[in-house]
Amino acid sequence: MVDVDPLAELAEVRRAYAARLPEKLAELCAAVEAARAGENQLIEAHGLAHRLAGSAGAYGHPAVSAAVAEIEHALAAALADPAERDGLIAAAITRVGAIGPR
Amino acid sequence: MKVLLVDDEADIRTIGRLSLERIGKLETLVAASAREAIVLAKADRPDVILLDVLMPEIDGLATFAALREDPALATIPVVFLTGRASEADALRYLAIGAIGVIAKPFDPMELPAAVHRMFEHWMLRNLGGGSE
Repeated sequence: MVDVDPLAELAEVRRAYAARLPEKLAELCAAVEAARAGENQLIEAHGLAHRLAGSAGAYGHPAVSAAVAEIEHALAAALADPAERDGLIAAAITRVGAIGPR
Repeated sequence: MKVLLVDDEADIRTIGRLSLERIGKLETLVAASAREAIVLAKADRPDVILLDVLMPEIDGLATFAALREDPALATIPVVFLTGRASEADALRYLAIGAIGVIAKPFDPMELPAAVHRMFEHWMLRNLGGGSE
């Protein structure tokens, strides 16, 4: 059995992640738009943003991670403040639409 | 050193395992949930648990509490892995007994060394006659 170089393995998992990143961002975009429908959808969108913010940075996309973290924080604020929810979600929708793989 | 990585996000488990096992040469177990983590920890006692804070159903803090309530697992050191690593949160996690806090996103090239440092510091403090 050939022992694969760990750095080559890291490069390969990062390449595979990069290939899936546009799909992940589209999924986040859809989830944030769906968050206007109610609290359960908002919780779902927040969880998705949290997971993507964590993974994108580890896979070598710090700018995407930082932008998604801002969306995560906006959705957390929307969860905490129902009175401001519509505006915060609208701002998050605008932000998520502007993100692209770097 | 044997590490148990607990995170609900499959992508984090993938790169975390690669980082710890292949880059850091650490024996690595992975769990996707608190329940899985407790089963694995009982079956194959890790030296340290790397535990995500924000998980669905049973979060990292509740998992930590469950570990501490189980006499067989209570002494295993825990490092929290969190995307919400404000200083206040980090201090709170340390105050309840975590040996360290690592912010997500982590650098897979740096993660094993960070875990090692925290574990060795804990060993010195608790098993080596430290003065704290």
